[in-house]
Amino acid sequence: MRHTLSNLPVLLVLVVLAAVPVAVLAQDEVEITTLAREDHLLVSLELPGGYSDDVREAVASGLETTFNFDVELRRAIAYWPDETVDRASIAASVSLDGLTGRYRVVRMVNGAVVDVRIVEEEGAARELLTTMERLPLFSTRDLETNGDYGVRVRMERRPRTSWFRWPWDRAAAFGRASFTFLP
Amino acid sequence: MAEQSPSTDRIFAAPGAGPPTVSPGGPQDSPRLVLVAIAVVVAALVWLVRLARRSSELTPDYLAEVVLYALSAACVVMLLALGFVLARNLIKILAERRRAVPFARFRSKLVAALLGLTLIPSMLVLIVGSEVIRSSAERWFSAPIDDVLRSANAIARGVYQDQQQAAEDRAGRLAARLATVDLARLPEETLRDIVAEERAVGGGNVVDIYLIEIDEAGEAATTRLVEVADPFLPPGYPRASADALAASLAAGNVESASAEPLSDGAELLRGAAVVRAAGDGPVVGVVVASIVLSGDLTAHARRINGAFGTYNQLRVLTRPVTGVYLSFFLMTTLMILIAATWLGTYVAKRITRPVLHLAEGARQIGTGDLDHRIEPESSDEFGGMIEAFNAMAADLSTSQRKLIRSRGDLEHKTRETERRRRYIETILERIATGVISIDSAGRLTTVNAAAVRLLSLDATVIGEPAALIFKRPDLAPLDAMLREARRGAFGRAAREVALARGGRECHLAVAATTLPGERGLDGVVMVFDDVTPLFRAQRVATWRDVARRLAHEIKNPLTPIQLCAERLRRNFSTAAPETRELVNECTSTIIGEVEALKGLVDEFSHFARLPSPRAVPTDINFLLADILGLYAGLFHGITIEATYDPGLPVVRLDPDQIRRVVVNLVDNAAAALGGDRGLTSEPGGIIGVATYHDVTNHVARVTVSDNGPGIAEVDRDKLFLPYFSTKGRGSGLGLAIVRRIVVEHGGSIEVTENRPRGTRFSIELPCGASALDDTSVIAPAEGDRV
Repeated sequence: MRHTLSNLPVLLVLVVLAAVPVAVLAQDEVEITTLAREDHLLVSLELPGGYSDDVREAVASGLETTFNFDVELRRAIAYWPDETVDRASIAASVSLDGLTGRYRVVRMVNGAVVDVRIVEEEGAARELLTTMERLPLFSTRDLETNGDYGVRVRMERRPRTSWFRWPWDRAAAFGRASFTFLP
Repeated sequence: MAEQSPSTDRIFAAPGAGPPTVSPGGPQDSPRLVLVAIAVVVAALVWLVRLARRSSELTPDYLAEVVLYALSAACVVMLLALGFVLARNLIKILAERRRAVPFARFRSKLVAALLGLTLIPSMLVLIVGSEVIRSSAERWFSAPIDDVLRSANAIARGVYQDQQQAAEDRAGRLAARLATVDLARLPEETLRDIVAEERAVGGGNVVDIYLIEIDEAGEAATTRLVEVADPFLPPGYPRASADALAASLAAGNVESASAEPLSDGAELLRGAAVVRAAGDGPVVGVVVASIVLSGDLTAHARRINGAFGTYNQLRVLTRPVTGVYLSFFLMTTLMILIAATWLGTYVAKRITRPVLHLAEGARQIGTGDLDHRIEPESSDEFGGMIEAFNAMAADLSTSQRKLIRSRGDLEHKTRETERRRRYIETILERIATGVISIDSAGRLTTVNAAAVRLLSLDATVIGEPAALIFKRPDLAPLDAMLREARRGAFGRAAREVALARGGRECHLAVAATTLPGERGLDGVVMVFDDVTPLFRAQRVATWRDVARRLAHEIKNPLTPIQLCAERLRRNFSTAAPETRELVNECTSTIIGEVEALKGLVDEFSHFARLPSPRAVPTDINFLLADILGLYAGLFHGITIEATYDPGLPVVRLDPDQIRRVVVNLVDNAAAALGGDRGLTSEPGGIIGVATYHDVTNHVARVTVSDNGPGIAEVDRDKLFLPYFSTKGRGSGLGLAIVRRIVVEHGGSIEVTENRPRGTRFSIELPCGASALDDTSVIAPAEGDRV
């Protein structure tokens, strides 16, 4: 029993290594732009490759397609993992009414609906789904002047279209941006 | 699933709670736990089957998101569990084989066989089933179905969008008509008439006209001016959507259509258009025209659209949905593999564990743990073997206990025998009787200290042939007795043997006893008692008796003889001188000899009537000093050197008799030095008188020595006999009396050569508490008194 337990970490490493190819699937990039205005940090997100063929097909089928952005404001610490200062979630979902041909786009920030749009053009729906302009996600009151900060964004997409769902699946898209806070 | 080694299975009972036993196994082998595990597996399988059956009722999205995630997580967990179980068993089997654990190879082969028998079909089923699911999923989307659904959806969507477009067109036409009037000042009746005219031309179930006013902030506000609706519309139909649509257009948005569900399933399709002043002027109002799409039509359209949407969603979610069904297969396969692995180890253990327990039990028995027991796990043949093993162990344990008890008894007897042997050896070593044992081969096996002393043997003679030892001339009588005994001349014989010891005669009472054995003579035991003192005492007693009789028989006629001689002298006093002289001479001779005989008889009488000593505690040193003080200046040329031991204790003795002893010895010494009392001897004569306390033997030793010519060795033993004298004069009773006095004090006296020259008399008198209390040792025997 003791021998087996001592080999358990090795077994786990082997299993994880076996799962690496799954985790190394293509990952989209989230372009992030930050801007400090007044007491808020305005965050703009753009997901150029997010509206893929799979997403287009899913939207066209009438499935409600949602992009969940997990946004973290982090403070850089030398020789140490970054510290998470604040966290926000953004969700943008689109559903197509097959009869009217209109796209209904709903945007939520931290669980609250901030915008509902009904558009007829797919391009408009895509724009609403993949581009967030200047969202006041974080307060800058607690940020240190000239401090090095970063915004990290992980995007999860529903519905997923992979064969299996592994607990260690990576985010569908990922982005990171650093800035020095100057009020 | 986990396996436990026999060593960890062992549970020893508490002391006194019976023999230790081996438990049937770990908790994982509990039948209850096994049943629970089987129930869990069966429940999981049932849940999987039910989930698979209900999967058709679940939306593809739910399947892809929730069910797939749960199944994937479960598969990962089970995969890890399978890997863990396999790795554990693999490592365990390898370790057991390396340690050469019994049946390790058999167990590994059994597990591998069961696992292989399960793994191969399971993997085949998994592969084939996966392929079947994949091909089935591809057949879900056949071209005819795709065409039908697509066409039906196009029809439904066309009807819906046509109605929508119609509503927008009516709103546009009415807006164009109202552009020619002043909407703000137009009376409501006039406005209703215009609407009625337009409805008569273009239809429309509901028409709403809004006036747009710009407030001070520049915001556009809409005010409904008129609403014209068909009377068959359901009461309370929603108007808010029309207001919202109008407000949206007033705000500049281009969105001009919306749909509103009604309570009866129908749907209100709205189309809107802005009213511009003079046709191309500013926006002054909004017209919203609504058409009611019937409930049946709406339902059909929605159903067709929904079916097409589901169809398309299923196409989009083909991979995750297929993954769900593959997960069912994978999960079932993993469960079967885990169960097979566990079952393999379980079955192997069930088969080999009894044998392992037997082997372990045999090893324990071999190490001496006879209380080791194995608890039978079943009532089959293995159970019978274990019962037989336990019975054997119990018999062994009982036999060992008996053996231990017997060994204890034997050890006790051996110790007792050894104790008795030491006791006898001690007695043999301490007693004054000499003991010699000779085995059947004629070799000395026992020679105690007294025998060594009496026979003047070396202590290393044990093991030597007795014939060789007794070949010595002085021991020849013993050799003769031994030969007679070995010839079987007598069973037990006693004889007195006189041996010469340093010129002295030693009288031994020898008893030879043969030791009969099973095969004849086992040996001979010879016992020696030194009877020399007894012999001497007998001789002294004989002499005393003779002296007493002589004194009695001689002294009686002496007086008449003397009287007769004196009478003759008186009668012949008047005779002739020659006669008188002759008579006087003869009578003088007779009288003189009679006197001499009387003196001799008196000495005899004194020797015979020596009184019993009256012992009192006496300081010997003081007594000797007192005696030697009498000799001061008495001898010329003789020096008396006295050495007293200050540690000499008080001794019970008769001072007068001891005084006589010492005086006799000193007188003899002086005589030996040629210095009788009052005479002058050769110068350089020394008489030594010394005392010594022998603490070990509890005796007080008094020595009187001289450096005279000494006594021949052949005469030393006769010195203490009556009438023996080396001086050629005297009665020869002095030393006899000395010896008698010493003996009657419980002591002894011996004479030895004084170094470098002369003679040494050594007297040993008992001292100590026993000597002081015991008066019997100095009491003379009744027969010794004259």
